[in-house]
Amino acid sequence: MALISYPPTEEQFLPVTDDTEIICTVFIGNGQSGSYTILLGDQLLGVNQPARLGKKAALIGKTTHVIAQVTDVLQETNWVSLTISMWEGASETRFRPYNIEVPNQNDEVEFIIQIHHS
Amino acid sequence: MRNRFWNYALFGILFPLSCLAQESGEQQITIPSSPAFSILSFEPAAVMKPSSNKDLATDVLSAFDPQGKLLMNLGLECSPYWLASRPTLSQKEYLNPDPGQAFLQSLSFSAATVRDSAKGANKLGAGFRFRILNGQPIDSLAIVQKELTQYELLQSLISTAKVLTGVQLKTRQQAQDWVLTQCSTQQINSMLSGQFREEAEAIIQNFQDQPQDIRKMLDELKLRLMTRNQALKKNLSRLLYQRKGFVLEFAGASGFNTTQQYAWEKIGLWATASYYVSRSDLFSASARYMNRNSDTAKAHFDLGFAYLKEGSRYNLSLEGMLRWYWLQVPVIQGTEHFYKKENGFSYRLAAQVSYLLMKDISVNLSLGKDFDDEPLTSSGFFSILGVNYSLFARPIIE
Repeated sequence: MALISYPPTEEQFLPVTDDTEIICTVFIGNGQSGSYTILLGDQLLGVNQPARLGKKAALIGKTTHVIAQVTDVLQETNWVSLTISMWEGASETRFRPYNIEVPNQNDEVEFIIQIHHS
Repeated sequence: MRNRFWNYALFGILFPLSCLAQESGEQQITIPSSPAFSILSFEPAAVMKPSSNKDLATDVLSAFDPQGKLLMNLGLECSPYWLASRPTLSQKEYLNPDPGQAFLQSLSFSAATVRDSAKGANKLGAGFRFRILNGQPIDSLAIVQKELTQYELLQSLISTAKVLTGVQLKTRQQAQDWVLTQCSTQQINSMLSGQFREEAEAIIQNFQDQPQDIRKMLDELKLRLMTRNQALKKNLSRLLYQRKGFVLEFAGASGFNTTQQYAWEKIGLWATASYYVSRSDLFSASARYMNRNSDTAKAHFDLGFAYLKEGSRYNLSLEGMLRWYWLQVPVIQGTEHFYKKENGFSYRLAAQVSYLLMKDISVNLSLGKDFDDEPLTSSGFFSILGVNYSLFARPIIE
């Protein structure tokens, strides 16, 4: 059993509107088990639940970090995945499913995804 | 010491009978885990289990020799749904699938090749298996899942401390205190936060207050916590596959003789409806159709009912099977050669109890009446006392 780090990943997201609150959601796929935190700058805004990041003005120049720990618990697959969405009202910007196939059952994957708002 | 002597003595006396106590695949009505292996009555030494389309293509190609002939004594098991990543499948949906999702998740194909050295023939078996209903998760899964989620959250918080190192957290002690404060805020159980404190105190002196060193310390802590919580993950992986409620499962397989232009020799279809009252109580009803096309052609349709009870040291099973059969037996009388056709009804009743004597040794007693549909069989009453000894039993993690 190993602890595997997903390659460091950086994304960009700028809200389109000025007055809509941005909500960040995280989805753990492949039927696997995991936990996550969401940081905006150095503020911890979400722990295993969506985070309200604020409106455009509060985001500009900052970075959101999504940090997750996912365990491969299924015998059928060694795939582990994480999908991040930024919701601006009903509009969703989805950041790819970050997929990784671990070598062994019960391996763990650490994801640290940076999303820059600039 | 005396107890141990008697255990070994009993083992020595009963070991020769243990083979007799094993039930043959023909008598087991439950769905075989790999239908293709079952139809050939063969468990390949090497079983390929591809986990991606690329692996599948490689495995299929490697099953043929340079002349394009199938290699023997190979097995292949493949679940098409799991050949790719499924990023939209949540754990909740995986654990509580609707019939369509249950079918996709559970559909598997198996294939095997074997050389029948007695007849000099090469055999190929191919089969499938799937579930339409998959019951519900057992109650204890939620408890263990909550523990694992807490462990994963602790690991996420340590990773979060790595991100905050150099920004908000300037020293090793600040990093340690931040994680412990978050453990308290997020109500992480005291056993896990205690593990973190112990490990942090054990290694904190090995590092400096440079950001890179603090991150190294946090990585080391993650590894140490992972090592301490292996059993939790294994336990969850095991509990995921224990179900309660109604399970409906189907399977099929066919056996071919590849030295006679892929002439089919056997076909089997299985359907099982099981009701898991609890982890240790199971009722099941099964139907099976088997057709064997050899010197003596035989087809039979079975309906079976079973009850299984699992105790801490004993297992009990009661089963009854009804069989309707059709036989075609070749008969030679003088120069005349013809087939004698026969059909009829038979049944099997069996009760089996096993008692665990020691860690890897159990005593089994089977009583009952077997089918009497084969030519030259007697009434089939049996009583078998045997011993099972597992040389390499898997450890059970609670």
